[in-house]
Amino acid sequence: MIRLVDRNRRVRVAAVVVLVALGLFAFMEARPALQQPDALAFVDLAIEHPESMNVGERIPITVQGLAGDQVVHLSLDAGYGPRTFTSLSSDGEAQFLVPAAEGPGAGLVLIEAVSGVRRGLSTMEVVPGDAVSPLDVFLGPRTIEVGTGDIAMIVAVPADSFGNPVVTGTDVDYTLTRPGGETSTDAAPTEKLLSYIEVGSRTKTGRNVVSARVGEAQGPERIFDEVAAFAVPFEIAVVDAIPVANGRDLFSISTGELFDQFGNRLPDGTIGHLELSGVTGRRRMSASAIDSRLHFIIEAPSKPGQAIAQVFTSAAESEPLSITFPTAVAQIPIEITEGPEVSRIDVGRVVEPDGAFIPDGTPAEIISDGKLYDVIIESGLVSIVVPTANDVQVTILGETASAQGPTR
Amino acid sequence: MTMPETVERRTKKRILRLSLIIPLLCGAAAILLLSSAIMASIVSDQETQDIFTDAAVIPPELLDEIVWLDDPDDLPREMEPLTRIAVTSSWIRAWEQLEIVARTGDTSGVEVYFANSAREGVLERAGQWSGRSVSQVGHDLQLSFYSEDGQVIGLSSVESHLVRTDRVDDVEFTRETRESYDAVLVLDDGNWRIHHWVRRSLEGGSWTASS
Repeated sequence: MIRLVDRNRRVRVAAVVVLVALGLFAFMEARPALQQPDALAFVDLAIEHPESMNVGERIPITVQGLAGDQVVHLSLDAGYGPRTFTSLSSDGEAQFLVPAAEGPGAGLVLIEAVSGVRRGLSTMEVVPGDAVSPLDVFLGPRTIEVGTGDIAMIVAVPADSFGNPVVTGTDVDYTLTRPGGETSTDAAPTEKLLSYIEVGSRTKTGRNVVSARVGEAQGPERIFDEVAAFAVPFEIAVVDAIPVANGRDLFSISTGELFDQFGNRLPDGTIGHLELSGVTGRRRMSASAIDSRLHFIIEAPSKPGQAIAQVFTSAAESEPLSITFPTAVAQIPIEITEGPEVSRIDVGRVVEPDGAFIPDGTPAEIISDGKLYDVIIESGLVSIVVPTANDVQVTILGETASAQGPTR
Repeated sequence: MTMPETVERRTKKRILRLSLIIPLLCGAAAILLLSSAIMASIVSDQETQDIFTDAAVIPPELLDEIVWLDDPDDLPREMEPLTRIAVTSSWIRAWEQLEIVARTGDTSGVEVYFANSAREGVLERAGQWSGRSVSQVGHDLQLSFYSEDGQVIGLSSVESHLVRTDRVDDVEFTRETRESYDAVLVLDDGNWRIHHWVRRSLEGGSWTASS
């Protein structure tokens, strides 16, 4: 009996669950239909308006087909969004006079009238006005190279006082002042909202000034430079006296003025590099042109001898320049004093060709009986104590002197 | 102690163990859920969102609806593939921005995609959408101009497939339109911005109403 009651209860519960599930399913199925009872809206309001208007003119618009006094919303949209106006209908129509300052903008304007669920649709053409200052003028590139066929382009986007691009076919006049003052004019009509001209490079470097004009409307002048492209071969020279090979004095190598094939000076910032090879090895350094010259400051080598300098730019190079660095050491006196157990070597005073002591800190190598001693000279002197000093050799800045000590 | 008694005791112990373990596991799970919810709220709070504001992701299906028609032969310069991708993105985002302005009135992103007259045009009309909106379905684009220095683009949307909506009370009116536009885009600060666009044509279907 108890089992029978339980079974009945289970059946009832199961039935309720099934019914609930079915109900939910039916609700879910029915819901989209409830949400989207799509139907064609009632579009029967007639909109009367001119087919075409000029921007800035007041636009008379009449909405017809209204019943009695009703609120009518009118919107005009040229693309950036609607301008909306509201009026009350009278005798079945509502009249609007869209103020010039609140016009929709130029182009094809979408006109919509709404009164309750009744709607009206139309389009009209609004013609842009004349161009006004300042014109939008874009120019680029701002630097082109002479004699290479490079082109600078000037683009103008003339617009009327409401910001609308002017009518297609509007001529834009361009005035170009070349380096040297030569002036030329060109014209190009607008198409797809803009107008452009191309200016090719010629053979004279300098500043070009371009201006654009549409009738009385002008834009800011734009500037681009024509610059020399590649240098032709050039000369180099040591600017000051060639220093002695003391490893510390500085000297300069400079190019002459760098010119291109048309005789234009190369612009500042032109990169060049110097290659210098000599007894102390090779070195390479870069410089930027200032006043169309490349200038290199170099440290004198620490050994006398010949060095070859040559300067390169991207397309040209100088003739090799031979530089001979004289010795920095006039004489190297060596004195050996033998003691009972050790010997003393005194070097100096070492002097330069002009008689001055060689600078303090100059390194020297002393080889005594095959053993190397690295020392620093101060006040032209250096002294060391060694076990034996039979055969002494001293090297300073590439110059070598030797001395024999008394045999112990 | 007999064997059945031992088994019964073990069973009781097991039940007791289970009755303790299950609430403990449930409690642990609840704590885990609660802590993850707290963490989620921390990492997605307004400040964090302000810091990590990415550009809106363009739906892939919308990208598929952008068709570039062949470029004219007389272009001053050929457009680079990456520039075309950037312009596509800017065009879609500009329309998306217009929809944001229409639906929410939020104009904070307008200057990112519009400049010059276009920006003024959108801002001036931002408060007048009043229930209206426009959303994009697809665009057929054609390049009409590309400047020598890659700074200015003339672009024609030969056909922009749009959906215009207007909500009046509880009724939403919807209408599909196919419009064409001429536009000028300028590269400003590495971003292509619309300086002008002008509607050239408009064909539309009927309004449908839904509540």
